[in-house]
Order: sequence, then C-alpha cells, then structure tokens
Amino acid sequence: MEPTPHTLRPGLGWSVRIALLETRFQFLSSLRLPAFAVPTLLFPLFFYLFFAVVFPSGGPSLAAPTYLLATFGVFGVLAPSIFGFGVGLAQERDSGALVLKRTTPMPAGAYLFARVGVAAIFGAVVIVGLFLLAGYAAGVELYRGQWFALAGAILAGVLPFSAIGLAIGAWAKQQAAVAVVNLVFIAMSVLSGLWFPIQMLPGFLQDFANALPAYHLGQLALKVVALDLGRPVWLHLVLLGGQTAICLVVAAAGFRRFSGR
Amino acid sequence: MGSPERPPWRRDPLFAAVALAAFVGVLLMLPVPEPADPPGGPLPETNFAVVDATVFDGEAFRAHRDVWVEDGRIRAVGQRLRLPEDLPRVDGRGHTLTPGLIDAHTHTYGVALRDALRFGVTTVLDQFTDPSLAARKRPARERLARTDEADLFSAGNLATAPGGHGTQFGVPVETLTGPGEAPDFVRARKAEGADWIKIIWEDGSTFGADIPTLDRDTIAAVIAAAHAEELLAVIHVSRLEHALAALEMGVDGFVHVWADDVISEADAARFAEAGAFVIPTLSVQLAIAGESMGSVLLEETLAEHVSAMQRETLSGTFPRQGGTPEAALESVRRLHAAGVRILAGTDAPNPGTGFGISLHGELRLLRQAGLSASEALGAATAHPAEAFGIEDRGRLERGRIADLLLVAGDPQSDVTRSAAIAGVWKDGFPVEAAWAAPKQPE
Repeated sequence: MEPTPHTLRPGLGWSVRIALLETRFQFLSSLRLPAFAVPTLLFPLFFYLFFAVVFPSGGPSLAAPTYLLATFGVFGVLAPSIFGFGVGLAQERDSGALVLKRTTPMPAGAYLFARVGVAAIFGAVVIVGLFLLAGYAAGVELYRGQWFALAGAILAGVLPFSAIGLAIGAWAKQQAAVAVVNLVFIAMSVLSGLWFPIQMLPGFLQDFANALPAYHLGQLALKVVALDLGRPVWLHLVLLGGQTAICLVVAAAGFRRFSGR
Repeated sequence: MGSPERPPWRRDPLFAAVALAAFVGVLLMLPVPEPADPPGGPLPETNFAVVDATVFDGEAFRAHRDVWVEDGRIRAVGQRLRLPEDLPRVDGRGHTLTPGLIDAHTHTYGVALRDALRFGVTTVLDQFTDPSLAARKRPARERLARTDEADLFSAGNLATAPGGHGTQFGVPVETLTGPGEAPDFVRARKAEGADWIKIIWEDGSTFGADIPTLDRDTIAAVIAAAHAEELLAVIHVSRLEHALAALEMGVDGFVHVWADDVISEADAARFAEAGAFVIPTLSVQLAIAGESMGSVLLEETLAEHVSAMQRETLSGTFPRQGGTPEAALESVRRLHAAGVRILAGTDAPNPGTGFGISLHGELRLLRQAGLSASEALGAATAHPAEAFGIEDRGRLERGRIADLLLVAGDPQSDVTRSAAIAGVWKDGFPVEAAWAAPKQPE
C-alpha cells in the first residue's frame, strides 16, 4: 500500500514533494487562466515572428534575429514571473486563498518555490518556442554551448523578475496590481532594450536603463551571443543582485503589513 | 480505480525529469554554424569568410565579427553574417583579423616586396627607390591577382642637393641647385610616375657629419611645385629646427622624427593644426643610436621565415651612430598627445631593420611612445592609406581590397601578437608560402 501524503512526516523529502505538488497545482491553475497563459506564451513568439522572421532588418547581417532572440527570451520570462507573482499573489491574498494556505502545514518556502517554478516552466516553454523559431525560421545559428548558455541566462531571469512581482503583489491591491504590473512590464521591456536595440534609445535613457533589472538580464543574455554593449559581467550581476535585494526588502515589508492586519 | 494508481505526488519528479530531458533535447537539436577550418591548414582564396574573429577594422577592435571576402574584395563585415552554405570558412575564434599592414617608409630593392608580404605588410609606401623599379611594380597594384609581393607606392627619386643625402646609394639622382629648378624637377618626377615628392633636408649635424643639403628657398619651391602638380610633399629632416621651418613652408608630412631635440607641446600643437603627419621610423632611430631591435626580432622569429636579406639587414649596424631614441620617443609622445597623425614606418632595409618584420617592431615602439594598440595598428593601416590618399586599403569594410592579416591572440592587450601570424591574404589570395610550407630561397 502506497502511503498517502498526510501520513508523511516533515523532512526534506516531504518538503520537496509538497513543493512539487504545489508547483503542479499552481501550474494547472495558471494554465486554466487563459488571460495569463495565452499572452504569456504567445506574445513573445508573435513579437519574434513579426520582428525577426517576417520583417527582419535589411542587409546580410543576422544580428537582428539573434539580438531579438536573446531579448524576447528575457521578455518571455519577465511576463510569467512578474504577472504570476504580482497579480497572482495579490489575487490570492485579497480572495483569502493565501490565508487558507497559511493554515495548512505547507511551508511558506514551498509556495514561493511553486510560484518561481511555474514562471520557470512558462519561461522554458517560451524558450523552446523562440529557439525553434529562431533556429528554423530566422536562420539563427549558435554554437551548442551558446544555445545552452542563452537558455540558462534567460531562465535565471525568473529570480529577479519574481522578486519584482513579489514586491508589487505584496503591496498593491488586486485591481491595482494588474495595472501596476502591466505598466512596469511594458515600460521596463521597452526601456531595457528588449523590443529593439537599446542603442536606438537616447543617451539619457540608456543611462537610466541601468536602474532596470531587465536591462541587466538582457545584457547578460546578449553577452552570450556577443551583441551586448560590452559592460563587464560582474557589473550587471552586482546591479541585478542589488535590485533584487531591494525588491525582496520591499516585499518583506509588505508582508509584515499584511500579517499584522 | 481498478488497479492501485500511483498517487500524483509520486509522478511529479518523473514529470519534472521528462520535461527537463525534453527541454535539453530541444536545445541539442538546434542548428549550429557550419564547421569552419581552423587556421594553420591551407587557407581559402578569393571567396571565403573568416568567422567569429576579433576584427581590427582600421580604427577599433570589434569582437566576434565575420568578414566575407568575394572576388578578392571585402563584401561584408558584421556580426553573424548570413553566409552561403558552401562558402569556405576560416574559424577566427581566438584570432584577430586586421587589414594588411602598410609600412609608410621603406626603400625597395631585391626581395623587399616578398619579405614584406610574408610578414603581413601588404602595401609598402616607398620613400626613395629606382623609379624604373617602381614603374615595373605599378601594374600589380591595379589588379587583383595571386602574387607573392606587396604592392608598391613610391616617391621614386628624391629631391636633394648635389652630393647630398640620397646620392650615396648608387641610384642615379637628379639633384637641385636652386628654387628655379623646382617646377621642372617635380614635373619630371610626376612623369616618371612618382606618387608623391620626397625632399631631403639633412646637413648631417645630428650625426657629427657635414653633408651638402638643399637651401630653404629650394625646399619651399619644391613643396610649392609639388602642390601645384597636386602631389604630396614629404620631407626628411633630422633636426627639430628644420622640421619647424618645413612645417611653415606647408610640407604635408615628415618621413622621420628628428632625434636632436624634444619638441615642445606648443610646437606639437602647431603640427596638429597644420594637419601634417609624422612617420617617426623609431625602428631606424634606435638602430642609429646602436639600440636596434633587429636581434630581438630575429630571435623570436622562426629561422625558415626569415630571408637571407632580412637576416643580413636586421643584424647590420650603422657605421656612425648618433641621436637619442629617448628624445625621439618623447617627441612622438607629445605629437601624438597633441593630435598629430602618426604613421608606422621602418626605413627598412637600413642597418638594424628588415623588410616586413620590422613593422611589427615599430608597432611596439609606437606603443612605447604612448599610442594605444588600436592607434598603433591604425598607424600601420587606415591612417597611412588616408594620409597618402590610397583608396581601397587600410580598413576592413565593404568594397576594400581583401588584404588581410590573421594573427593568433589579441594584439589589443599584447601588441607583440601582431607577429603571431596565422595567415596573410593579398587581393584575397593566401600568402602561405612561408608560414605553411617554407619555400626554398631562389
């Protein structure tokens, strides 16, 4: 007779299982929410198809499809991370679902793991779609190591972007969260050079981009294909880490307010 | 449920593993670039691409560039060029591709042009040679064809006084005795095919000698006559005083830096303002002072790559030594800081220098004089081409002749890598003789 979940004793195996279980349930609930799943999965693919495959910039250079592969990849993990946390969290809190979950023995870490995990799954699906489009429709050729490094760099974006979503979700009410997340999502994508090369922005906006996590992640992804602005890796990592830490501090403050209510 | 079904939490790790495997599987099946041949084997010709090299384009180093050569000219330089599938490729990773080098001060004879080309010097700006030799070599620079010689541009004969510097080499020289002869002299040089006019102002005093030289009026008249014929006028001086006077006369460039005195910053600014260029020829300045780089260059180069002539001239010493290389270096430093265009030239084959090989030494000396790696390489590529009005060379950009130098490593961080030659192309044809299979000397 297989043991049933409630007979398991707390421990590492138990935590992993419950985290995976929560991931699966959150994934299924996200999948059943077309307003989340469809744009998250299709927007980056459609944008890429439009800008890199159907109307690539002229000349014999392949740089545009490769550039956009990296940046729309980052865009592709930005959406599930920031929406999943920002809107999803605000929703569950305001509907009382979060309070309910807190009464269960599930550790808080499993909940966070599941949210990040769902964003990573959506991100991975977008990466698969984008990479196939790039490789087989846009003519992008990368060395094997570059394909893996690019996928890794893009997927790593789940962490800083989730932190942004967490900060928004911890503070904004459900309706406000949708607006705030959309604003941050669109503005940061454009100003970070995810939709078109950052070099096309005026100088002061290029400087401003240093304040945006998506810019740093974009540059790290572009570095894999040698199309970045040439700033050192450590600079991007330090700034990205600092920005993520700030988001986490802001989020923690928001949760304390929620708990104390 | 008939049979006992595995509970969902049992299946989750399996799903996760399968999903991860599928993800990795997709990454493994994505297209990778066509395999490129590593440099070292036979190099492709006429139509090929060097892919994913660091490119020095004449101004700056740019990482991960492809250079596409078509019919002996550069068709495109860029990132991730869309290359025809059957185009031969050279793997440029770990290598740097530069325009073929230009030595802005040599004197051509013997195997000079072959020696130059073997060392990546694809164009030579000669500052005095037998005009008939220059005329014989001229057609080669007008066509794209397989060759084992660098292209030659030359002043041909030079303007000097009877018995003056330049008359001692056995080449018959038509000398000048006064300003009135200048227009005819320049027209005769132009008729011979001179690409510019070279003037000697050398009284030997820097080297403890007394040599007859042209007077100021004649020098000014030759400069004016050259300009009237739309030719550049460049001048040999070895004294700062003469350089400043020639600058006043409107000379276009200096084929040596003077070694008697260090230029002041104010005077350096005057050079910059006048737009005059300077070819310091530090290689020969060091040799004159008895500090030639010749032995260093010989030591670090495989013996089979060095011709008998290169070995002989690199090992040579000047009979009469003088000048201070420190002063020359400091003058170059100040000229460069003031914004004066500095060009790389060796004055090969003077004692202590060798055709081709010494230009790699000159790049190091220019670094010592304060030029950055890209400025030093620019002084041996784009800048001499522009200063002497030679089109189609000196830069890696669309339409230019495919004169290319491929070196292993990164000359930007270590300029001595310019001599780590992995391949040379002239007019799109590889010059492999010395590097792949050393040729027997004839």
